[in-house]
Amino acid sequence: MADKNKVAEQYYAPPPDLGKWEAFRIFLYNSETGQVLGRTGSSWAKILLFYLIFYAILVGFFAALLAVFYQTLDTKVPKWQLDSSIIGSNPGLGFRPMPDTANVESTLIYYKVNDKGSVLKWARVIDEFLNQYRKKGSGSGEAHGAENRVPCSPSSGPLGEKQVCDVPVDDFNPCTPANQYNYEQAGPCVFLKLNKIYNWRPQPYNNTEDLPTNMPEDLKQHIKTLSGKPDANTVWVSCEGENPADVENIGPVQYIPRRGFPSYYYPFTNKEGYLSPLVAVLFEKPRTGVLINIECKAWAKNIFYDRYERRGSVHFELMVDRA
Amino acid sequence: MTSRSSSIASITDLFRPEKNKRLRSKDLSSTRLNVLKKEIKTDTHLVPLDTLFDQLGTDPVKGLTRYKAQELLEYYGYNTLTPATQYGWTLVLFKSMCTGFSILIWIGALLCLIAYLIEMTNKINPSYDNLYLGCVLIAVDVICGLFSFYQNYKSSKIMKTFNSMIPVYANCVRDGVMDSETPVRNLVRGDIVEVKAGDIVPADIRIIESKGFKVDNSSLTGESIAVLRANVEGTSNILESPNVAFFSTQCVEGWALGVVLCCGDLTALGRVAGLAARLKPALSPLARELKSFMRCMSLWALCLGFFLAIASLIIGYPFMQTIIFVIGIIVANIPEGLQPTVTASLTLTAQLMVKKQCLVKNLDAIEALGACTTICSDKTGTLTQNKMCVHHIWMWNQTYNVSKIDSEKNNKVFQSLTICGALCSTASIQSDGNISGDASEKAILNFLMEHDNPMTIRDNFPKVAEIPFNSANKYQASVCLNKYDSKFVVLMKGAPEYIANRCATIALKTGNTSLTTEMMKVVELATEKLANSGERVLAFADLTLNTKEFPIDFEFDIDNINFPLDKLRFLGLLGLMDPPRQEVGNAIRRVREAGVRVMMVTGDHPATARAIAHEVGIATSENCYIITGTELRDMSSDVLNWTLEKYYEIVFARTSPTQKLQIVEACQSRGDVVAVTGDGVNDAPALRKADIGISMGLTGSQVSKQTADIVLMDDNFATIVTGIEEGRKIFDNLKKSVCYILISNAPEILPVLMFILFSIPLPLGVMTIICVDLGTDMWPAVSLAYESAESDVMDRVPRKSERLVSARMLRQAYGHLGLMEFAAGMYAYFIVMAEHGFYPAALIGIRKKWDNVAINDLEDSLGQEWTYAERKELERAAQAAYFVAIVVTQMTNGIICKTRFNSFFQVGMKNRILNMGLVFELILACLLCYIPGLSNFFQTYPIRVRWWFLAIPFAVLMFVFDEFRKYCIRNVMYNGWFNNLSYY
Repeated sequence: MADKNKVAEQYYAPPPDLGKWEAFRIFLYNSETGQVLGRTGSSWAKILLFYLIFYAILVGFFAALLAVFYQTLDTKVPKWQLDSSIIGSNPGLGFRPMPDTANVESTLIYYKVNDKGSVLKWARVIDEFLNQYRKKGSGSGEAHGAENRVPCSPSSGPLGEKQVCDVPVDDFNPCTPANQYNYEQAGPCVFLKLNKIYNWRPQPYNNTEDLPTNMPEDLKQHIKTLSGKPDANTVWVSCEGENPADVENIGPVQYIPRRGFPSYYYPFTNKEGYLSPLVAVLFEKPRTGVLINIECKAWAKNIFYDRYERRGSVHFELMVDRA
Repeated sequence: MTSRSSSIASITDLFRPEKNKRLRSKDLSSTRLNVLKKEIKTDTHLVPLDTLFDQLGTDPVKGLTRYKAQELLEYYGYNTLTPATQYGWTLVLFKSMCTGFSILIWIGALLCLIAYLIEMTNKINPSYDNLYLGCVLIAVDVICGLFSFYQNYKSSKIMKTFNSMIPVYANCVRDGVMDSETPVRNLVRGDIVEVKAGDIVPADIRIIESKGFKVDNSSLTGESIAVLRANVEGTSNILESPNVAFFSTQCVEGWALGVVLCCGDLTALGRVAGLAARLKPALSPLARELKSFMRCMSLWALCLGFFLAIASLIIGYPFMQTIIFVIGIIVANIPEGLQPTVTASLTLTAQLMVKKQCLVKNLDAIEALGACTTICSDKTGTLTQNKMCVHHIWMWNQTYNVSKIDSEKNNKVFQSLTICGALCSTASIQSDGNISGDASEKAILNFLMEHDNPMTIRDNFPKVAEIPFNSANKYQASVCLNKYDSKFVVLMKGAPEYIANRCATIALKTGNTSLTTEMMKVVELATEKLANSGERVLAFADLTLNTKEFPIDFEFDIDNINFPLDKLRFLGLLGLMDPPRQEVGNAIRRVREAGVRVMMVTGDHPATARAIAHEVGIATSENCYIITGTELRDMSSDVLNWTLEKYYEIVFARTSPTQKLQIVEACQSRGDVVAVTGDGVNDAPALRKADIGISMGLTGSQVSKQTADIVLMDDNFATIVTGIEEGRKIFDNLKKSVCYILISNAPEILPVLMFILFSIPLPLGVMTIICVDLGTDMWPAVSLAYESAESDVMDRVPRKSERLVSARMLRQAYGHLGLMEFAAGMYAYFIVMAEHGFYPAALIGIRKKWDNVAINDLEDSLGQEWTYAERKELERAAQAAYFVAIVVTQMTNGIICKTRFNSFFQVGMKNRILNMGLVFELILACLLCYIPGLSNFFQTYPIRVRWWFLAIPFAVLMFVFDEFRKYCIRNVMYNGWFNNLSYY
């Protein structure tokens, strides 16, 4: 206040007319008052301190509220499940190997049979994916939760509280790492998996009744052979070419080890060591040199198919090149 | 002389109808404007008439030949007022759509459409989101554009009103034949015209011959006094020259023959009209504020968008993604709701003012009135009633105020005075009770009506002869017969110095006595005193004729006067004055208390002006500085500026319309915000140029009402005080509205930054941003205009350096409350994500996988795997939760922004409109979330009820923090830390 009075007593002299650049320079550093960017050092210190405290309180408040909220969450069980969650109860499918998803929005599996490098690239992707399915990790020690895995079969009894069913990926002959998953033979394996949804139980088509009309004929035949048997409690899988040309190009298809995901793997309850069941689809003799659009669908009474939203299905392209 | 005539020639050329080839129409218009601003310089009224006839090639008897008239008409064009070149409404609309933020929004829309086209060509099933967004942005642009169009576009009818003042036919002599049906538009220079009582002068004419020719010059001077015009020597200032009658003025009495000096746009009226129509009022203070704010905002948004675009391209985001960033940044940075909010707030205040009998024609004017630093007021008809009244009565040695005259009812002198007044007044009472006649005659009769019955007097004193007033005699006399004693009485009225000289005796209370030289001095002194107080003084005298010389059957002859007109008895003086309106004094006091300077700018005489200025309080001391038009003419603009600086109380008298404009411009160049009040045609240019033009609704001329921004429907000057108060209040409240709008900007911008920096799924979509800016925020922002003032706004001085958007407000909006809203939004977003299995830690860095359509099985923190469609739905839910958090916190903000200084607990929730606005905000948010079509279109989601409550802790924190802040501000705590930091 004292300063202000002093100024008021003086006669008013209009401020010297400064050039723009000069004014800016003085704004940057005013040697008379020691102001940097319009504030003195202590003023800067005060304002920084104020905002430091202010934002610290804000961040603290935020963190505290988040922490309180975390107390209400279970670390294993989703708060919202199935239909009350946005995830719903209609799982989609995933496939492996996937192209490098970090960079391209692509679902194309393309390789050259004669090019060892490109074969190995895909094989490595699958290796990496299957790593978690092996008891022995590639590195040191046993995979996390692997001790809970027990072999299951349709006839085996209920599992223990901690037990989960094993997925014996080493038996997926010829889709084995040793064989480079058959990529070198121009008949690549593609692994399918059903999306995990907490507490979701399939309602399989376990007999020939009520089979949907759009189900492929060969799958219907397959279900007929198993109808009534415990093996029929399976979420079935079918892979087809999307367009008539693709249907021609795709060639014979094998499903290994079986044509679907046995229902004893379900429900997924986030037990330690749980493995999502796999189906290796072996394209025995796809036409080489052309791009084939493939769509795989999962079949169960409570899986509804929607191509646009990719519900109950997955899409990928396959292109095998010689030369 | 040569330079004068050459300048005349160039002016004439400028207004020729054929477009000057060298100039574009815009340049021509501005050149014309500059020419019009100069005072008229001509000598056509000074040169001898014969020389003039030679110059004009005309003959005073025969007039022009038809051929020559036709030739001149073709060369110079019609005798009409040329309308100014005006922008068509399409151009104005186009401009409104492309100013301020609009360009940025167009860029955003364009980017959206480009993104859509790219997607359409690359994908089989392109999503329509970008197309929708583009369309919505275009719609936003159109809506905002329409709002500013509504505010900007005024079809100017000024010229039309001017043209309606012009008559259709005139009496014109051509080829020696008088044609009374000559269309006025066909008149040219040099035409000889005749004007009779009741006619309107068809052009600027110089009188050749006249008899008792009186014109009412009010359209040029604002004073509705009939002035005598005749063929006499002219004065240098053509506007005051007694040998010139002007276009559009009305002839009240007599007739005249005149030669046309100039026509159409070059006439005195043409210049006033040309100025009024061509002047572009400066941007209002508010518009200037908004413009600079918008420019800063746009620049900031563009820079930020540009840098982010570069950065994201360098980091390696695909082009499509980059486009989406830029759109997001642009849309989030722009407060789209600002223009509609401002327009709506101003409209509301305007409607409020209409209830107070104040019509606001230009919305910005109402706020400008609050910022107004100087009022230049016309006198006649604005400060005064424009109605002559008797103000003072002087009878021997005593001046009586008109209100206190009743005590003198029995005074014999007073009785004689009333008789004399009643018989001398030429005004007559019509059957409907109206009084008709000259202003001062009416005033006398009106005065008598209150104190006596002039009609009975007139009945008792039948008039036998009358000598009418003329400018040579300066008196008017009548002879009446006194029915009581059958004697004739000579009664005389006129200028005091003339009457006193004809008097031999003077009436005293006690009886008559001879008028000595000393008594004459006293009379002179009294006259001077009254005249100095701005009154027009009339003296009255009478003489009873003896019956011997003048028997009852005496024939009075007024042509050869056969009765005495001297040795009269002096009765007294009447001081006439146009009294100030009742409320004016009080209003001016309050206006001055509010720090607004009031100056008088009038066409009237300096003495009258000074007297009124003293009476209404424009001049409070002897320091009041009076500048006449003639002095002003000789002043350079520097001297004028210096004078304006040096003297606070200034009265400008005898000013021409152009000078009024000059004064306004001088004030404006000093940085003043100028309001002009006026009622006459002569005020039009000044009204137009002023930041706020205020006109009188009842007594004002059509032209002034058309030109003004604000019309006082009941002529009540005090409404201006209310206007200033409302204007200041609306500025205070607009600050709150703008702050409210800006606060929601921070939580709109930061999500895009989070998206880029932390690679989390986008927390707030562009569509939802628009929902906030132009949906939920709108009503509460507008309703803040209804807040009552926090302190007495009239105690402050006008804002000069106070900004609408200050650094303090930006700090408060972006640095404090905005960040809290952002925290609330992020909290809601994280909670929704976490409740579905994506914990915050898992979200960071997930963006590439999240937004990748190819990935159909993205795993969350609990092992569940999500298809693309499922996670996009979750994203929408989280964005909707963020949106709802903004809505909830913005509702709190509405309560916070109610006050800038006072505590909420002092103010309470009394603003019903705001309360409704908050409810509306809530309902609208619900509709946007839960109506299936809307939620799809605007990318929201029918979220769980519990998620509505997530933002409440933050809302409480905001409220508590802000109450604390205001508490500190009120008590200037911590050395006024918060005052400096955030008291906007």
